[in-house]
Amino acid sequence: MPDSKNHRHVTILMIEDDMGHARLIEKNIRRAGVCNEIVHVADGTSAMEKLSSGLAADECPLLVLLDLNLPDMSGVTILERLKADARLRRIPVIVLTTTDDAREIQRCYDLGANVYITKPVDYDQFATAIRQLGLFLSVMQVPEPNA
Amino acid sequence: MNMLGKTPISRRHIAEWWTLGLGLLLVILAGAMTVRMVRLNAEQNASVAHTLEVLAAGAALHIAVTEANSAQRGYLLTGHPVFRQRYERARADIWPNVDRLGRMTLDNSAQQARVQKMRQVLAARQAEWDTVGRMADTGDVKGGAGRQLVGLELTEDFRNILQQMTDDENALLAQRRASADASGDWVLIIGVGGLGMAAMLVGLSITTLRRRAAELETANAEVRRLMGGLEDRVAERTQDLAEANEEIQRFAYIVSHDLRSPLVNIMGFSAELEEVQGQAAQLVERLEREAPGLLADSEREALSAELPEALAFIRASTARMDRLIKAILSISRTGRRTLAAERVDLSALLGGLAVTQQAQLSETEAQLTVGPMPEIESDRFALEQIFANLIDNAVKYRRDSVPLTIDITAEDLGSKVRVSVADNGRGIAPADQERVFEPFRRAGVQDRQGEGIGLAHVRALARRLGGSISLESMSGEGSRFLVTLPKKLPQTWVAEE
Repeated sequence: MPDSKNHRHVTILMIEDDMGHARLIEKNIRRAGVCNEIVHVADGTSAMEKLSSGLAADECPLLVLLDLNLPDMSGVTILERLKADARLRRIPVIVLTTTDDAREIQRCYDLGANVYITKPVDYDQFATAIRQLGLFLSVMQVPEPNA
Repeated sequence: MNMLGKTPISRRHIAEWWTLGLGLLLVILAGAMTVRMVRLNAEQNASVAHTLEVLAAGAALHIAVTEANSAQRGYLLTGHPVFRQRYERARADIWPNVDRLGRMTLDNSAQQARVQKMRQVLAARQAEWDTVGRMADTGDVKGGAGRQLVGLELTEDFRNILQQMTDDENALLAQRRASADASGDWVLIIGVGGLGMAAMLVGLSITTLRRRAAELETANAEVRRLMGGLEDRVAERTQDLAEANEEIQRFAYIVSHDLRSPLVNIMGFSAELEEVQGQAAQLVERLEREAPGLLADSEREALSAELPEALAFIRASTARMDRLIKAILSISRTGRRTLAAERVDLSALLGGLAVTQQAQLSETEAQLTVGPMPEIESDRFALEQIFANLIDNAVKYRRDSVPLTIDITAEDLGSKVRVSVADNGRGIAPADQERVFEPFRRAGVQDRQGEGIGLAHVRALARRLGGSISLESMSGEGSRFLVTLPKKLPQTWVAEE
């Protein structure tokens, strides 16, 4: 299938400070049958570095999984910078965080987040949500970097 | 407080009243002097009139005597009866006038003596007139003319006496007038002086009173300023409290979020571990089947019993912790929500809640009645949460032996309204009646689902609305929750963004 071929190239950048969360997310995405490369960064600074230099330069389609509670900067700031950058603003951003505050959700969508998912504390629900996200990732189209 | 010291003001106060009192006294004195002066004047006038009357009587007497003299002389010379008549009439005027003089000088012994002497002289003169009269009757003109000198002497005597009397009266009048003038001057001086002094004192009093009024005004202004400062301070404190409250709410919110994050890991990995434990159980089963005796008892025990037990406890505890965190988040979210005051018809609100809960109520054959309710100005959402929680609780903790009844009534307390939610459920023991409002505390038999957060939530909401909630209950007979709410949501309670 051309689609799946296309998808193999898409790299998932997971910005998540909690190692445990990152591991659980990866596990469940893999369980959904998604085998794209997952790059994990644990703080905002390295995330911005990866975004603006490393990955973008590789000209490889990208998808960002963003946690809002980071040690060095707020995920909202990363989202802001991403959407303000002409080269990066088409990258789909999926906010995956513990906060389910209505104002926070609204703010993220206002800033151009594509999907907002609250991490369920209950693990069954968590696993289900991530697996469904994985299924969703396997069908969604991601724009080419230079398109 | 020094500037408002008591002693100096009261002392000055007395001084002010003293000058004012003295002024008043002087005014009264001046008034009395005026009265005295008027009276003195009247007395003087009376004495002048008296003197004039005395003088008039003297003059009349003098005229009568002179008239009698000349008339008799005319009669003697002419023998004409007209002169005789004239003489008779003049003579008749003499005695009444003498009597008048005598009556009017009763208070004066010197004048009385003169009147007495005058009577003698006039009696002698009269006798002389009689003698001459008889001569005239008989036509003895020569004899009559010869007696004229005697008559002249007597008349002269009378005149002298009268003159003395007149002089005396005039001197007396002058003397009286002089003394009256002198005392009148004094009265005038004292009166005018007194009035002047009084005017001065009153002026002084007005000045000091005005100064006092100015001082009072200054003191009032100071008090107002201090009070204004007080209001500012209260506003400041209220602001501080609101900020502190906000801080606590934010803190609770952040803490519960940060607690959730590790909880996701604990729950996630324990679930993963359960997966592993399932595989381990299968492995144990296979080993038992294929290589019995390979596993020691303790190893088998650990893998198939202890591991699942530990995992079950971890899962139960984390699930509970998750519920508690959710409850804290819910309370902290209530505190963070901005209240919006609007007119709320409590009857309609409670009626709406009754409809929402209809399924639950009819399922348990419960009876919910709502009495007459006022309209208040408050936050609709918070009110709904309060009463929905109370109705929920009543349904949840009903007695299975009797059909549930819930009575909601209202009582007007002036600026506040007290809504009573009474049920006939299990009730709450006295020892637990305060505890049930604390978070995570529950009372009675723990046979119902819940985290013990409902009433804590209700109390937090009632307080945010500027009200309170209390409880009256008898264990086994029912509970009555009393929600007191202000009719108008206080402005200070509306949280700032």
